[in-house]
Amino acid sequence: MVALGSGKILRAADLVPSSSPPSNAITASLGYQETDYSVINWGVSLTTRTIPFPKEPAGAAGKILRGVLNFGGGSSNSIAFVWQRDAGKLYLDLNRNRDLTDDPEGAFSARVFRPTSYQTFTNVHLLFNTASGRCRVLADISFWDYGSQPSCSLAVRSFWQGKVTLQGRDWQAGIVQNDLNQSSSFGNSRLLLRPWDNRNQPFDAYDGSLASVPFSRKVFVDGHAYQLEWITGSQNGEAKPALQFTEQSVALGELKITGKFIQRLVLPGGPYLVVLDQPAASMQVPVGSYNQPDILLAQNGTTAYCNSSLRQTGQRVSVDGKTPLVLNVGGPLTNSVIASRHGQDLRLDYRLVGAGGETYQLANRDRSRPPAFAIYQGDKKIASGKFEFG
Amino acid sequence: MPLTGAGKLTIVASADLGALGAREGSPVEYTWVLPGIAPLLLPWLVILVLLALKPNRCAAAWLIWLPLGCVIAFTLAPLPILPERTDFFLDVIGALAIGVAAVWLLTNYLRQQHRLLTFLCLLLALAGFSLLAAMAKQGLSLLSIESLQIGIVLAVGVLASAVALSLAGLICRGRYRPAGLCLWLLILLAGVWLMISAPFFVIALVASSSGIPWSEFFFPVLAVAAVNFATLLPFLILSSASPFFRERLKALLHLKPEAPPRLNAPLPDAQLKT
Repeated sequence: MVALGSGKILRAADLVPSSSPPSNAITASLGYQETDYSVINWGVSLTTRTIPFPKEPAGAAGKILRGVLNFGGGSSNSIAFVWQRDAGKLYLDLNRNRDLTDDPEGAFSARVFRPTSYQTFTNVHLLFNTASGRCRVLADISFWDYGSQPSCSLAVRSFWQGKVTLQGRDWQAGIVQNDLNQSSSFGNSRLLLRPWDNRNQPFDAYDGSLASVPFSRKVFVDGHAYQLEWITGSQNGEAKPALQFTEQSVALGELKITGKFIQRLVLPGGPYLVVLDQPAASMQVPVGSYNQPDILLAQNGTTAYCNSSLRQTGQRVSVDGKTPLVLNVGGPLTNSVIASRHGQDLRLDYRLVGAGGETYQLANRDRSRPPAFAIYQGDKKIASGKFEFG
Repeated sequence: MPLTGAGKLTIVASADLGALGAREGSPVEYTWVLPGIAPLLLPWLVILVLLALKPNRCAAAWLIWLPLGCVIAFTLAPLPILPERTDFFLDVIGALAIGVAAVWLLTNYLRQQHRLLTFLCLLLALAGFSLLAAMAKQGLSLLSIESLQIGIVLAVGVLASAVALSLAGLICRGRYRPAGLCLWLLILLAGVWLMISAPFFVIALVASSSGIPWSEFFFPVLAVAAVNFATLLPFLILSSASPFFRERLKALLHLKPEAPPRLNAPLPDAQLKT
């Protein structure tokens, strides 16, 4: 499980911000955190070469791929590699001197040797140069080569996190980097924001749990609006980031939610990124126009999520401060089916729908027990079966 | 859907939703109308119309139902050996059989003086009637993924069949030998299918840095060629067994007719009584 370090709330004076923080600012110093699960996946650009490096480990039998991993954020972050497929070995030039024989920490063995076309190397500690200093990343690196262009991806197992107390409530706040290119603005990164008590729960940036949300400089959480700043401090040349929450005054309007079991509802695309945890039937949120909400439902250990980006209708919703906005979303969920004719076949598509007809997915669905269907003609069952995934 | 399933249907989906909802979903009603009978009957009506043509007004022409029935029965039988999501091949086989039957009945119109012209007529007729049969099976819907899959494979199958039949006729033009013709047809079908698929293999090979196993590419292609041959075989057997269709095949493939008795052979003794 996750072994989180003790987070601490720091005053502005403890940090090295670029300018003095406002008096009502609350700053959370973020610490580097490693996990035993991946929090996000990075695709890595890979440049191969056929000529061996001047200094590389003794050749092994079978196919050998070599080249450079381009992580972004400048060429200084690129790392030369040699992948000995049949031997299940990966060598990384971690000190970036193009000598692959002098990196004692850069030799890895595949978790599973076969098949040789896809291999994963675990616990790879990488060090990158960012605008705010050296930045560590722990990842599992996967290589695959099915005959055309070889590819590589990183299952990142580290992020930045800390503890922040907002209106008397403790939160885990953090940053999940999506790549190295956005090191200064973090516009492409994910903001980790969840109750401090949930800090030990594994999460993935895109798993629908909504533990992390798209990074936004304006956040409305727990009934309060905040200006959010990413402070890129450094300590001994290493990145020492922080998040600064400054409370804002904002006009509010009423939002009514008809559904049940909502654990978290996120309204993106508006003046503030609105994060509502276990919302009441009536809430106050900043006035403005928003995209359709992302929703996480949970009840007695069963969770389901609705990803707004997958919705076919992109209608926006507006909170105007005069008439309440009614969001007909949430539970209870209903198993549903869409029937359509395809030539001589009757096609059935399974849908899990919420109170307003929005589509949900069960988290951690057991693939061995797919949804089933039964077709009746009058009272007589004439056909039954199970839905196939895909 | 079974034919008995026509009418108002109630469909219920079910899944364990824990505390988030009921296991049984809300019933969804759908009125299933039997597929129009006309599209299903269309290929058979076409064969009947072709049988009504003047050159086919004889009992022997009705033997065309035998090979056609064999192939269609094969496509209707459950085939557990077919890989998943490839059952559309059965529709392709059925459509190709309808096309071949139509060609066998239209030979008198397709046969041209020049072999190349005959090939073009054969290709057009085979493509037209096969496509018609395939469309009819799909309820005349052209825009579905299934229709596209069937259309592509059928187009290649029609091209391979027409080319292989014409080349087999060219090779065997000296003398009609059913076994030899079948053997050449099998070889040529395999060759044509390999030629059609070879460019894709070459492209994949060029794009690959580590090579592609030959077996993974060519064995499936040869298997498809074998199925293509098996579709044509019942019609070839009919042509070897029935004098009526034997002449049709020989005309279509420009095979030399049976040699008449030599005129300079000594005649038996005979006396003309006056």
